[in-house]
Amino acid sequence: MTRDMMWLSKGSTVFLMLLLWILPVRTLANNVTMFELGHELLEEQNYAEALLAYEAFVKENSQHHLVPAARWTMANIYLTINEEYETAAGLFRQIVNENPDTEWEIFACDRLGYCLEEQEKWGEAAAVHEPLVRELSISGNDAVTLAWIDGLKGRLLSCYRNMEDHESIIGVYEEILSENPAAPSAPQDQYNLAQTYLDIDNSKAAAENFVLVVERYPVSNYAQRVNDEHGEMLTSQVGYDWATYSTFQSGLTLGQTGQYEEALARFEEVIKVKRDAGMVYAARFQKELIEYRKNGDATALREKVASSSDDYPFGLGGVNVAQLDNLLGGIIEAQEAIASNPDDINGYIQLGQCYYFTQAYGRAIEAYEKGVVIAPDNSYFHNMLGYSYINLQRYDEAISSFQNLIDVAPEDPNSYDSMAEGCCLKGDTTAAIKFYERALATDSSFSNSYYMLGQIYYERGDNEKAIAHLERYLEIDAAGFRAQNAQGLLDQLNPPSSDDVEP
Amino acid sequence: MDKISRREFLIRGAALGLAYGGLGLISAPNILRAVTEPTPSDRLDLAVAKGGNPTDNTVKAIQALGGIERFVKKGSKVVLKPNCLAANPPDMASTTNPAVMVAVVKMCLQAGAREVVVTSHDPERSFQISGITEACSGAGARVVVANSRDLYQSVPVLRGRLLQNVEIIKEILDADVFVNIPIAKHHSQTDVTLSMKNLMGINWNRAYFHQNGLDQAIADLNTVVKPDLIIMDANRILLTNGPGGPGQTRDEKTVIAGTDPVAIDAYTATLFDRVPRDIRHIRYAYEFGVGEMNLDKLNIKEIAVN
Repeated sequence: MTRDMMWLSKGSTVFLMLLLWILPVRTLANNVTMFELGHELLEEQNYAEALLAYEAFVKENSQHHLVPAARWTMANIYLTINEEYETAAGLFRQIVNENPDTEWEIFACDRLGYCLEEQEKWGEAAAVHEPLVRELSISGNDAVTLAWIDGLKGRLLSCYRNMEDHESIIGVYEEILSENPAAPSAPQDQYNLAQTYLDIDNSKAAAENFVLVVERYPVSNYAQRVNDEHGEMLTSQVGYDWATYSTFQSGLTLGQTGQYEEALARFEEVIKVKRDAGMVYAARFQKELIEYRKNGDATALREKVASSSDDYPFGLGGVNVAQLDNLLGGIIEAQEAIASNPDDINGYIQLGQCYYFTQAYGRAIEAYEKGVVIAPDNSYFHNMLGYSYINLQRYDEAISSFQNLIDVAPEDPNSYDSMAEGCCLKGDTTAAIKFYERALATDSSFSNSYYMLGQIYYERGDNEKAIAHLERYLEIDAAGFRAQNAQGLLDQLNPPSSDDVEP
Repeated sequence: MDKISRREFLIRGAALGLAYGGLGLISAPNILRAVTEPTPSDRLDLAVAKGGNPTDNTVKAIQALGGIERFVKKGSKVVLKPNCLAANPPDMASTTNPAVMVAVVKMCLQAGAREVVVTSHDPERSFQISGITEACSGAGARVVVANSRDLYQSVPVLRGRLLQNVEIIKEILDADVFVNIPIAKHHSQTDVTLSMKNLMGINWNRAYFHQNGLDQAIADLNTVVKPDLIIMDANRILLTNGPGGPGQTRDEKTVIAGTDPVAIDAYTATLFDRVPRDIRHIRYAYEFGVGEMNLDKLNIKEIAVN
């Protein structure tokens, strides 16, 4: 029993009686007073009294919309401060029961699971997690991401592992996948199912399920992981022939770099070879995507995406449907804006950006070029023109666009940073170094140039300079999106000495 | 908004002490009086100044709310949190207008603030290009670019549904007065970014928010840090391609001031033709009692500024 809770056991009855005595009068004035008092006490870390205040609020305002919030906070105090898991679990369970089909239900289930896991009640915890995992995996919820759902799945898995119950894990994944193999989390679930079979040394079933990852979701990262990590196993266990997957990947690359006819030919070949397998659907959608990149018709593709559940039983092969729909909507919106005002600079920016992110780089270039005609000094257009050309591997035109960028924005370090990237991709790292250094001469805190220089020096084997630049990058942008990579490179360059390694 | 203040709680605590000591008497009517006697400014939830330039709108909105002196006492340390997410000039409406910042810095110093700090977890370059560093330094504030983890302190989130702790800029935790000064913008993930979303920039680990559930994390963060004053820069709002822009903008010539983040955001959402309940983090924060999202329950005063 913590010190706070000792206080609670002695003084709580009197305190609660007094709170309740004055409460009816207070309630007339403002029925959230006790709720707010709870917050103040919480800030003072007076958890015992905060509990009493919240309890008094709930008692006197049972129908108030803040009751779940009050119960939630009480439960959290019991869970994280007092470590009274039974009491916390009771409150979370109450929130679950009283708030079906709300975010409260999702999050209270999650915390209820924690309480049970802390008590090593694996079976009970699994019983709480399983329906939630199943529901969220099939239909999702805007309140949480796939990563969060995956974390929950991991905990469910861990419960079953502790119970040595692999059959249940397999059962969950199989049910989720049979319910909706087109769900956004399906590639990951299919991969995890295979991995579970691997965990229990059923390599044949593992291989069969890894094959489904590749066949149904060839665009997803999970297909690439299977190829990288288990490629040989699939060949030896089930005789999987990777040739068609390679053709598919080649089609993807060609389609992203503007070589549309060659890409279409590759996907045709996939369709011919695979016949009824999952990869056929993915290849058919890639063909649609390429047609869109050629003709720029966002409306037509959007209609196809909307009807995808009928035409594409496994989704779009691993393409993020929501993101694609959002970008296509952006194109239609921008086209409408431009139609009503042909000089709408922001319309061209949005149009170019949405085409760019759907990898319709040719269309993006058209939009940005129109933008340049209206606003020749707008650095954004020159920069994005350069990057569009880079994606089409047209490096000379990219460098020409970046030169225009430098001309219109010589004070902006990003101008030199972009030019450096163009030079780097063309293979001229000496020029790239010069431009990165120029970016840093313009702004010594421009973190990206430090990172890129670090990487170039790393690849050149100049470890001293690589370390200096990567460390400087981390000093400036420790939470940046390249921080993990920078740290990874530094760890390779600065391996821990034997003194640092614990016995 | 009538709530039990810290002082009133001490009064009640003393009364409880007496009761617990066996005397059995507490002065409930006195406590009630303390609770139910709001000052005039307490009755106003939002002050909306419209039509003037950014400086005048800011000054008028704060005055309508009871003046800066209501929040800033002599000798206090004030921390201001602008939005300087993007390295864009102010006319692109992706960063708080420096004129708004300068007006607040000056008002705080005139009210006797010991120190005014302007801070955010954004790139130094954004502070510079947005004009915030130069404007605020020139007005007498200290600008702290919070880009190093040692500037942060971990705080538990007991009222949050997703977060269990957050790392907050220490300057804010140490402040006597914390003023949130966002700009109203479109946001590609949360639809709009207003005052509650602006607090993302007082926390270190933004990646966790994005990875696990942005709207819920924003609501959770707002259960931990409640600004003493919020000044919404809606002089020019970014309608598309937010939060970084460039995108379509509209001159609203408006500044909204208040103390309730949910109320401020609910009102500002309507400038984007959004229904407050449809913005998830607004609804989540409301469900947690962070504030009021039903505009018909708010006392809103609009002030025409010439």
